[in-house]
Amino acid sequence: MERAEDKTILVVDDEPNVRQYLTAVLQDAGFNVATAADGVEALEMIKRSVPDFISLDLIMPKKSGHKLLHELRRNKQWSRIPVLIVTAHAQTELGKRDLQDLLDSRVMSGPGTYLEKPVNPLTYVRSIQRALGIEETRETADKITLKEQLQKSLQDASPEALRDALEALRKKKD
Amino acid sequence: MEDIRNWVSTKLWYEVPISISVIDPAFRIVEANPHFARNYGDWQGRFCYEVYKGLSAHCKDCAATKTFADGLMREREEQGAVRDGQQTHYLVHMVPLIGRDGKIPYIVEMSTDITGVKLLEQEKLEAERLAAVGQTVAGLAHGVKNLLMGIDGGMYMVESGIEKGNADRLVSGWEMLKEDMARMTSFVKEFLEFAKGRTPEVQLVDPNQPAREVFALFHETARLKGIEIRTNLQDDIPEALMDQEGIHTCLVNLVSNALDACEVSDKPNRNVVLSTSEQEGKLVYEVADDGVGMDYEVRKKIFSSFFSTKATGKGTGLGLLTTKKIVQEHGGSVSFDSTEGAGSVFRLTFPRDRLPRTAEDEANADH
Repeated sequence: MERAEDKTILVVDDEPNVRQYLTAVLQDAGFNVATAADGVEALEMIKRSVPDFISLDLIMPKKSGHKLLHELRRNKQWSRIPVLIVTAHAQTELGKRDLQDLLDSRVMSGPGTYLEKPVNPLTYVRSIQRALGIEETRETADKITLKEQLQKSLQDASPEALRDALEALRKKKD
Repeated sequence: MEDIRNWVSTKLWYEVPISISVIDPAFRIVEANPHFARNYGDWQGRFCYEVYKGLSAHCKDCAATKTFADGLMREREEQGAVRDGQQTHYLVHMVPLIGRDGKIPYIVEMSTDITGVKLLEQEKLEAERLAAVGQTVAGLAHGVKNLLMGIDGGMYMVESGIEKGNADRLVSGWEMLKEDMARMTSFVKEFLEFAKGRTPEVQLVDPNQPAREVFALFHETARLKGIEIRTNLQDDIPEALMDQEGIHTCLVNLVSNALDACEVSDKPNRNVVLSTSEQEGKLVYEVADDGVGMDYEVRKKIFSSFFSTKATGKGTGLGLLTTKKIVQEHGGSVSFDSTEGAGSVFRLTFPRDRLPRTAEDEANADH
């Protein structure tokens, strides 16, 4: 079985805050993370050491996500690296056609190869885990269900109920 | 042959859907065709400026005076009187009748009503403006998505920082949230400013003036960045009716973009040139840089709302859209050329005959 600890994810996004955020999310899930701020930097890092997975933003200065993908395609080894596109542009005039081009021309394979910003951290991690054949630990799956249930209950809870719940959680921590 | 011509001439005089009047050097109408009479009523002994424009003295920049003087034909677009609450426009040809002695006893004024065409022009401008606003609303989604991502990120860092007792992460998260708040604020402000749409405050302006001001504004900044910026302003450029603040905004946007393009470039010598020129009845501003230039993808999307290749915080992408809007309000157009790695040129072209009219002109028209 594959383990997250053995895998390195390359996160490419021109925004430092997004890089920090996604790095935190992935590290929390046990992955090793490398980051790049644009297509040029990403290519250099891939040349130095091939990552197991690439999380990619599309619109970046110097070299866009599209350009990077087309370049990776040319190298046999690199073209096999699974890619997840994280973009704000999936639905806009701007990104729709380019995204469609990428998906159609089979630059990447497999379903669900893009996520729209803002990404849900759990969905993000799960997409990557699935692509790398890493089993979600039962713990994670349970935790997700419990969290969802809790969120639903929180919606309708009265102030007293909320106070009780908060106390209970605090106690559990200690 | 001559019979046919005479026949046609007579027919034209009586039947053509063009108002024809003949004036003497005192601007008195001495002859007019039936179409003219139908349009303007009784013309006997009246003056052309009175009948066409409802004025009590001849037009400020009277073309007929010039034609009486030099014998050259002229064509003008003019504002007529207000009829049924609608401003009328007409196109007039002024043709001198030159006698064998070289004197010019009369001018023939042939005019066609183009009010309908003018209306279409205005409607087109308005439609373009609305389309731009519509595009903006659609493009808003992208900007908002990025902001939401920023906020989600900050919150995740704060929450997981608290959960894991990781103070560094908590602090990072909080910093991210503060940044997001600031970006949100400026984003909303800029968008509101754009959506509001100022009515251009039009005045007679020396076109070189806003260029000089923008140069002064960026001169020091450019120098500190090691970029050379200079102006190339045409000396005798005629004044224009423009919204000075609006033009200033456009030039600030273009120069700022040019400087950014140079900053990202690795070349040792980077230059920005801001120039003005008069070309074939058009006022032209140009901002040229030899920075990074734009590749095909970027060129395609450059006027899309909120599109920006610049690092976040450096540009919301609204700048060019605002520039386009202001230029359109002046009846002008924005164009550009760019070569990746070599640089770009942005051009603002204002055809003189499409520039706005001042309140003074309006007052003269319906005296």
